Amino acid sequence: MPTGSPPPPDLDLRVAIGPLVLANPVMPASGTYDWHSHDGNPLRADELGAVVTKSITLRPRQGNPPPRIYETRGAVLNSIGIPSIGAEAYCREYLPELSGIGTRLITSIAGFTAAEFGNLCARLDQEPRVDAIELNLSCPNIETDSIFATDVEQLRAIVRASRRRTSKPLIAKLSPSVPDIVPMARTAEDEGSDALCIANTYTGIVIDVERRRPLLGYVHGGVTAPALLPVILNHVWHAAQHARIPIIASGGIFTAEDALQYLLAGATAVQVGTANFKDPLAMRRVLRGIAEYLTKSRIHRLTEIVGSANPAYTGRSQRAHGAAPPDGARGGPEETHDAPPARQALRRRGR
Amino acid sequence: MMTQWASELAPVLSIETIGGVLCDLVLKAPEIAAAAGPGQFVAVASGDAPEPMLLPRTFDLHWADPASGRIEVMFRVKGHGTGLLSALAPGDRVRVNGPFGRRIDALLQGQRTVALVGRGSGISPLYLVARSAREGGAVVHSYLSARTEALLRPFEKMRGTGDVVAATDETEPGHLITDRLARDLANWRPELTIVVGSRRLAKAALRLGRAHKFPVYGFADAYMGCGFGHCKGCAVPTVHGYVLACLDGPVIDLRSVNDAYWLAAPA
Repeated sequence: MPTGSPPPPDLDLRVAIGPLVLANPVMPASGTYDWHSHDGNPLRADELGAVVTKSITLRPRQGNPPPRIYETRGAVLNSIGIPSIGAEAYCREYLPELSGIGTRLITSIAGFTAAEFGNLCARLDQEPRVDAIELNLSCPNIETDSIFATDVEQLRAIVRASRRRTSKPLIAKLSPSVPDIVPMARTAEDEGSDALCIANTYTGIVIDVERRRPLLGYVHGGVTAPALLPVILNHVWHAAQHARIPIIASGGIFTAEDALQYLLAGATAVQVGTANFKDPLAMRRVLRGIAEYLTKSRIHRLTEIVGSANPAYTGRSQRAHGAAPPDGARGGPEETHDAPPARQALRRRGR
Repeated sequence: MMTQWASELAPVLSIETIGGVLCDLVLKAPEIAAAAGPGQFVAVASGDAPEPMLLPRTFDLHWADPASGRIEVMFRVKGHGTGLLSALAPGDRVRVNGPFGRRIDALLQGQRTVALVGRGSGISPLYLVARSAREGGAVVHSYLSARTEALLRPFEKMRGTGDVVAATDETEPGHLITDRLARDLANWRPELTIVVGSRRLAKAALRLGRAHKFPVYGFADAYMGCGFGHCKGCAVPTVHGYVLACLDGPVIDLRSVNDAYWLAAPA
């Protein structure tokens, strides 16, 4: 798929993440793109629909011991450990610099208790530059020694605690390490999340056979890989049949075709992660490729393709009534949350 | 703050693997060549498709020529990524990003005597460093070692930058090249030493520096993800906390690293 030219101006690439309208659907996955006013990066932030920051924590953190990142056959493992300058320094020192970013700013936050998530949201709620908050739910809960995002009740507690402390749009970033994403998606939605991000990384280990010990300094790391795309896509597919809030898909995107698969399955926007490390212009390539696909297909509005390959996509009825919203919002109040869509039929067919 | 860097699809101009393990790769990357300086590195990956490499591999620059737009790196072929890159042919195009890392012109400036200590493929960046140090007025002494004579041969041109002491494991088995530096300290003392290519060598150089009171810098040994500070992967543990090899290095003051640095798996 050639990806040479900027999107034509008459193409409407806008999407909405809850109340937040983005100029286009492409953004970085948290932790894979930094923006600084003079960092020499040939990719401009204003080319993106949004910038998602690396997760910030309430207090400063150093991160994990090295090695932190390693490419094994077919996958990358990373165990960065959320190094963070802390919420106060982020607000005082970094946010003012971000005033010149030229696009939407989604601040990712990571807490180690539900109360910490709430406190982070309360602090960011005071900051006009923060357009939305993404909840990094794949942290360990230090009170229960478990992962928030794999336990529906813990997920509920965090989204609830966060929702109570901010009026900014909330995006719940879910873990793929669950047998069924739908209860997680529904819980996040029921507790007031404005959007879902599907998904964070799987957890893995790589062993250094020469040294006979785990290679990563923290032993475990998050696995990212193009081969995970069909697996995450499966989660997005099912979530898009039930959730009425927008989905941001993340997992294995290296090309425009990868991103289009997610959009056609029902994701409203996409996050590009590991590809940014190899090609700093990857997000530009993905966006231009999406635009070329639309142009070639004589489609003028990106939202027209969202969910179009998914027969039970919850946004379908609204679009079918000619009400495809200019802001890309999806799902209407007339839709029932529990409608048994084609997912069950697909299951009956053994898919 | 980083200086401007580029991402180029660069054609391979020449490629040669020496002794089966040392790959010498020359690329046409004019933007990177124009901006590069001593101590910097590039990130190289095989094209833009996700397969077969997911992350780039980072290599210290051996040479960069703004006039011809050529950059040259040398690396040890030891795994999946370096194996794939070593199999490239002239005319193939690779994704190359850079130059990254801090230039060390300022560190070299004003030094009257500089010792460069390198082993194997790690010798590669010392050529650019030596040229820069010499242009700055320093007298450069290089101490180079490798397993075999064949692996030292690509670095013969270091002799054009000053005195070179070279040894192989075949000619001087069981000895570290820093032993030769230690012997020479009776006659002269480096104002700065830079070491690369072996942790054992780096530790030995650091011991010498502590005993004889000269600073020892080294090219950080760290697994890297992106090379430009976004992934936070290349943490180097220091007495001041973690620094990133890509933004704060790759040349770091080895007196500042702590024990965790020496214990981590070598990259």
